[in-house]
Amino acid sequence: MAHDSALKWAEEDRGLQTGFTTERTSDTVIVRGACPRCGGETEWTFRTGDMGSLSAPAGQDARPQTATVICSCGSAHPDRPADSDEDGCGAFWKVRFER
Amino acid sequence: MSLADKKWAKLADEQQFKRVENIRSSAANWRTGLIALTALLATVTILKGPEKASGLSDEGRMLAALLLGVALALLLIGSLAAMRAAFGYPGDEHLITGEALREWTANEARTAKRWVKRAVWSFFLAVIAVAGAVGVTWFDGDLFPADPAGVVVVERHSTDDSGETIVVCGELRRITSTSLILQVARPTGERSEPIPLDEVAGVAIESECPE
Ligand SMILES: [Zn+2]
Ligand SMILES: [Zn+2]
Repeated sequence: MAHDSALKWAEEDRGLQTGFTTERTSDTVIVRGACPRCGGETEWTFRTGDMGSLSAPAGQDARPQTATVICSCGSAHPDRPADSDEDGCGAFWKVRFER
Repeated sequence: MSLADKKWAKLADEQQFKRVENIRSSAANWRTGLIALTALLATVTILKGPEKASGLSDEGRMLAALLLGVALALLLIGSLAAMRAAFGYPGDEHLITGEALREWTANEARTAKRWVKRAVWSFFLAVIAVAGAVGVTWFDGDLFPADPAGVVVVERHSTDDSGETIVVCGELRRITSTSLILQVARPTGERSEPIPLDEVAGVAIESECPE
């Protein structure tokens, strides 16, 4: 699927997606794959961190997680609001991975 | 909920830039709070000076000290609970996703509420304990009346034939077959004074000697 960079920006929920690769390092999980909406190659990084004042739910790291990823294909899709800090088509979806 | 998922994902993404800031502000808050507690402890230690308590009975002094100790402990617990509610503890390292952040936030809100309740109860009970201690100092005499001295007042026939009686008062030391022996305070000092039984006109037990 080719990247449709002329696609208008829209906050579209694409639900749970498969076919993404996950790469783990000691303190990150990097999710890579094509955006299900615009087709652009997207990379999203989750980092480990201390939540500051927040305590973690028990066993959070032991089970597979579903996490939301936002399109970051890098294209300036038309109609993207000027104050948006995104760099994709506005779509978001969930991926599932083991830690 | 779908747009909320996206917002949480963004919030989680921003956390990576706030990590150090989060840890520092939590540490700074705890430091400030603990310094305030130290000052409180120092104040109480200075106030506990024995001069104020010297007029109290032994029981009253002990009870007041106990209540103040309980109040201080409750204040400490309350302050720590309040700080826990306000600042949280530094957490462990976990993968920060929007979903995890949302769950963490909900948990923390519940936990903080519990700690606030504990803090309020601790302060409330501490105030009651302080009031109790003050009450003990006010009503010490009623709560713990002093033991009666238990002096013996003896009416004694005068040794001449005037028929008058004199009063001798003191602590009873001994009774022998011939006399009562009292410990009597005289201007020259305390001394043991035997009173022959045949000179005793009357005996009474009083809390203190008549002037
Ligand atoms: Zn896209
Ligand atoms: Zn795109």
